[in-house]
Amino acid sequence: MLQKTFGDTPREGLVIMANYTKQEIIDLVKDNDVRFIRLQFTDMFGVLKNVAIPSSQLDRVLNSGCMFDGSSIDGFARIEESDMHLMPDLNTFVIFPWRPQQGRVARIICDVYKTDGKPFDGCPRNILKKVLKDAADMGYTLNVGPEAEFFLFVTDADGAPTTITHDEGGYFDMAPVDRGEDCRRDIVLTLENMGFEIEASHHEVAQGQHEIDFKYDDALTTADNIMTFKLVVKTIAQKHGLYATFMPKPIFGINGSGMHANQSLSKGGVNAFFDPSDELELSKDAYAYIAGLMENVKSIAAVTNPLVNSYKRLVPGYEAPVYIAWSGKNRSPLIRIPAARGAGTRVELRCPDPSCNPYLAIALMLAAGLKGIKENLTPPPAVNKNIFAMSADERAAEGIESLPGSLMEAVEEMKANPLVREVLGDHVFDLYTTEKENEWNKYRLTVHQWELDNYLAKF
Amino acid sequence: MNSVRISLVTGSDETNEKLSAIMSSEGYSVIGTHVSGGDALRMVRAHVPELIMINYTLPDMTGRELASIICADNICPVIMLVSSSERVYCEDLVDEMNVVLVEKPMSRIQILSAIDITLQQAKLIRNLESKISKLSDSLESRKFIERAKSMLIVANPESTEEEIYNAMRTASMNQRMPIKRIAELVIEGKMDLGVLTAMA
Repeated sequence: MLQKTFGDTPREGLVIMANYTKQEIIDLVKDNDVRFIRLQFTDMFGVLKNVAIPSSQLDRVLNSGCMFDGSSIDGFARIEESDMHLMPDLNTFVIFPWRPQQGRVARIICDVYKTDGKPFDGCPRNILKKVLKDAADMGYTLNVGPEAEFFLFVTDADGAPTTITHDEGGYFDMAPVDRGEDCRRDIVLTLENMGFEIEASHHEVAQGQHEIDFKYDDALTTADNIMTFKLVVKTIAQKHGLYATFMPKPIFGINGSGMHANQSLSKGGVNAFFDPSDELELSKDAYAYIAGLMENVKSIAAVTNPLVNSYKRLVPGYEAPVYIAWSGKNRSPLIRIPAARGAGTRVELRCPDPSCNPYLAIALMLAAGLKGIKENLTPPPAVNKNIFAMSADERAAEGIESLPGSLMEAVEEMKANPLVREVLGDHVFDLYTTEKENEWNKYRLTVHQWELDNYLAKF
Repeated sequence: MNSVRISLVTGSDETNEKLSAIMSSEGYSVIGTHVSGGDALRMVRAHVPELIMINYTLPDMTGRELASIICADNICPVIMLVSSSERVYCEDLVDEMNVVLVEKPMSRIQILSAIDITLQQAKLIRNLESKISKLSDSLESRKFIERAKSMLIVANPESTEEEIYNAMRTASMNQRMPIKRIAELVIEGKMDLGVLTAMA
């Protein structure tokens, strides 16, 4: 059902995602005095891009899409095939709840097509759709529920972000210690106005670190929601004089920001991970999915944890996973099975961080899990003790491997696994690995402050 | 003496000090002086002032952006200090958000009168908003009452409109329930004239 109402204030009754027709969108734009529509898409590295069109052009764009030069976008087309088409996905139409005083702004998320009308291989949304179709062909649909963490930092007098945290609060702290509460409440209200169902929001472990959980949804909607979520968090933080960052480990010595991904498959509308007759009440599919994730996690890490900085989060001592193991109980392994059963039965992969491209990360996690199911894999026994307290020998005895220790290791693992190339396609795979190698090399060649601090005076 | 709480964001400590001295001498309480817009946003949300004076040029954002955020979130009334060439960029804020513009250079008298005018205007707007809100509530209630009344008239042709309204009003008073709620229950079919009369 359409919700077209607007209240007296910008926070009331905005438009909720629905199955829109072109005419309904045109009517909504007219009724709500929308002046601009942002056509959004995501580049290969998870950065949100957009082209704004005035509302007068909407009719044309809804019918025939919008042309743009893809060669200027990271990971998109080469100069000789640069013309691309943005085709709006009507169901993603949302009116932004902010800045109403200057004419409302709406957005539509788009798929990228080539001029011959075929889906563009470099569009992350198309890549995810392809894997979702493979899953659908096997009878499965994937639901994903992310738990994205972020830091709120104060800006300096020139408006540039600092690493000075907004408060000194800790896990679940309340105001006045939690000074981010006001900003977080504003973010939650804005997200609710945009159709998100917020399940919880709270201060996280580190100073200035916060988490907002929104309800799981089908994989494509969740990937869209993650992109929208990041935009909203950054926009609202700015209105509070703060800078929100999803950088995985902005400060040495305190917890980094992760984005645990809760995932479950359903078949014929029933949770395919639940089997009451099993000791842990998990189905064969669930075990195979876990096994598939574990077997391939090292090779998808360069996507789920895509930055040089991501690997500074994946170290012992800060609740982030390091070792490849699963458990139905404790929280130290990479894969945890939350206690909920029945329709809520799910697998939580704890390594992804919020700097990843959610479309590619979800596509690869699903492909890894499905591979486990296709090949009927069995995971190693669950590890129910604290892995961080085990010695290297004990881990080796139990066959517990580690996640890649750096971006370069992750890229090497990625290149060694044909599954990743198969899912991402040659175009994205080659560009992505080349770009990540360049990123690593730039990092490797840079002389860092740590080196100056430790060596300059000594030698 | 005034004890109105004012924040200042002018982009310079020197200007903040001068303005602060003028305001304090007049008895206003300057609760925060900020150089940047970001700093001001962090503080005004925590210590909501009754008025904020913003310079158009700030190091991290324009005063226009800051004023738009403060007005859109209804934090407090805004006075904006502009040069004659900057005025044109802010005139829409005067119409749409009741921002008061003061052109530089300004005298002590101009500053104090701008504060007076802004506070009076804000008070007026608050009163009007409160009246509008009450009128909207009353209009909303009236719609429900009329609908319930006409339903009861159709169901009880032997009773007059006045008798029906009196029954609703008395039931509302006796049950300590807003008459709008009584009307809603009638519309929802959970209450008829018999029940109303018994309650009255």
